[in-house]
Amino acid sequence: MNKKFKSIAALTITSLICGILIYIVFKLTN
Amino acid sequence: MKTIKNGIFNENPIFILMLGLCPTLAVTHNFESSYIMGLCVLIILLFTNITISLIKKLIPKNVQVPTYVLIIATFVTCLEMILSKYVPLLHDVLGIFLPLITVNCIVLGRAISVASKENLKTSFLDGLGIGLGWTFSLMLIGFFREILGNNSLTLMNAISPITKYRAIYQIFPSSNYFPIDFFIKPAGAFFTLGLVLALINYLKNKEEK
Repeated sequence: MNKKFKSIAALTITSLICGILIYIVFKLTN
Repeated sequence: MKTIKNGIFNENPIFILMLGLCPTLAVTHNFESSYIMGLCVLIILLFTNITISLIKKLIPKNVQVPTYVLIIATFVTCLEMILSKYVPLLHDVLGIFLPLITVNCIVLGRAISVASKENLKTSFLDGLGIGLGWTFSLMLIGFFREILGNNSLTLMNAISPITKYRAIYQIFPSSNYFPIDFFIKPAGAFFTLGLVLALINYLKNKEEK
């Protein structure tokens, strides 16, 4: 359970950070 | 230095590892698009290798691949947005092959085999070496294809809005037999790649003897 939670958390946090980065670049280029 | 040299010669992504051949065959009809594509892959390789090397201990083994693809896709999307804003002509020249860097075997391959195991310095140098190896290979194929197929060498055309300078050279005086259109077409890409590979293998065998 702990391993599963860690995997989901890692993916979610990475997605969030990537999304924020894309949003920043999008705002800067538009 | 050894890692960089290794990426350019011993582990050359195109001529030795034979990875990422799809964009190699597609964008090398023009010398300029060849080196720009090479530089794009170099930038993506550097950023992904550095990022993955920094966060490798935080990522569990079973979600390694999706996380790495996510990171690569993020950098590719950012690069695509920047290129479409500042060099739209170049963005159009590279077309679909720019977002397709995400699924380029070299980028994901180096992320899994090197960046997820090695330290920051080694990952950075490996990305630099492999990226330079890829760029030089593309330039070599693009050089022969454009000269033979179009009798020209485009050094700066799509990037001229930035450099304020255009450089397209005619190489040979035109005749009835030259340029040979075949080299610009997809079959010509395979043919040129085969010829360059044969030449490299010949030189390698000669050196070994």
